[in-house]
Amino acid sequence: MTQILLIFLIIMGIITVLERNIARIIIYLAIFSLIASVGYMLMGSPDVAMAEAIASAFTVIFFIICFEKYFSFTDAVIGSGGIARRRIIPLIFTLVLFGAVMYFRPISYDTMYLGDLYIANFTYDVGGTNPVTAIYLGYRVYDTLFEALVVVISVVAAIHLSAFSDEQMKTGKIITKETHSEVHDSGLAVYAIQIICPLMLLYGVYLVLNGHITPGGGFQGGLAIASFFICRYMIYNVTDLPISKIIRMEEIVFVSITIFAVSIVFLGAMAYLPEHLYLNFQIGYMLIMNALIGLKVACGFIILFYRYIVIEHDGVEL
Amino acid sequence: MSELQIILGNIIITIGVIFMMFGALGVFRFKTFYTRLLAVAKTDTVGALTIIIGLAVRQGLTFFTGKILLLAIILLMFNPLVSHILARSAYLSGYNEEEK
Repeated sequence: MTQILLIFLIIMGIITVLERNIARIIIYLAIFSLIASVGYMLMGSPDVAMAEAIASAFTVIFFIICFEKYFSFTDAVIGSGGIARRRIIPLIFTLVLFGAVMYFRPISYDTMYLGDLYIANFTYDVGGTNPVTAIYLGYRVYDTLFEALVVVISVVAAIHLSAFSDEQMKTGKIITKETHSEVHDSGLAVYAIQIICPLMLLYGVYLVLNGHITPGGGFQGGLAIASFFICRYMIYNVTDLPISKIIRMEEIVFVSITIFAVSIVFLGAMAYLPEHLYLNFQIGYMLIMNALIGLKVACGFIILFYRYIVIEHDGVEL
Repeated sequence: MSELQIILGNIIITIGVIFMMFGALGVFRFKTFYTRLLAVAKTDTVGALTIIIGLAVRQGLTFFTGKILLLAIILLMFNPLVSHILARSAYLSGYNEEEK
């Protein structure tokens, strides 16, 4: 099965290079990512397969949205060419691929040996009772460092793609009206969200600090903490958060995540501990990593929200 | 007694799923934003509540049931509120129907 998939991969690559219609190339790239993802599954790493699937889905959706602003995507895909190129060859290809996947059944118990290994050993190797946290903080912590880096870069990119530069922000001539939260005027919403808002913060902190026991962890808890600050703007209409300090804090937290993870995991500090301190050290490591990741994600989302909604409300003219 | 609990719980969960399917059907069939919001607001709340009640009947009186009944109370309070905020913000922002 792996050989057939690799042959399909090569064929798909050749077709992608030789094709001249951009819309079709986007679709062929999506098919390429799908075949690669199934190939990763067959070779025993389901987490890489999942990451590939998610990444390909998001990039294809992003491309199609950008394409749709100027041309019609479906018209471009089914463009020029005879009936064979437009309908028959894609149909045959889809049927063959679907038939191959259904016949050979790539998801079987022999390909899950890595998953079984993780689930059997994670309590001793990494600690805690949540295998997902053990994977992203223990076995695949390298992935987590790069995921954190991706969050930082995406926040920076989103800020720089915004309409106004920092200099124009500082002179302050462009903001002609104060931002006003419409939710603040609705007494019903204010009354109800006031009750639930502190509970959201508490829930976010609970998710972060208990990431190694229950489902949760740094990323989810950080989002819940950020939603508290977003609700605070919505119901009280205050914009008093120091955004430049939050940007600085996010960068410092990211650097500290990297230094902490590298020094503990890659320099092997855990191997030199006496046996009775091992478990506390593991749990302390996971707690501190989850807390730092939660803080970083919360800061990232607060920065995005404030930059786009509070400062650039309505796209005011210069 | 346990068999009856499971069968009754399954029936209630199925009814809840049918409610959710009506909501999804409404999203596809209605043409404007406000009517779609209306379809989804009611059916999602009632459907989710029914599924949670079905689960509670299936499990009996345990900690799990307490947790999901708390979740049901929060859902009942805040799901209509969120629909209200959505509709209000769309109306006040002057959301135009041609800009779909």
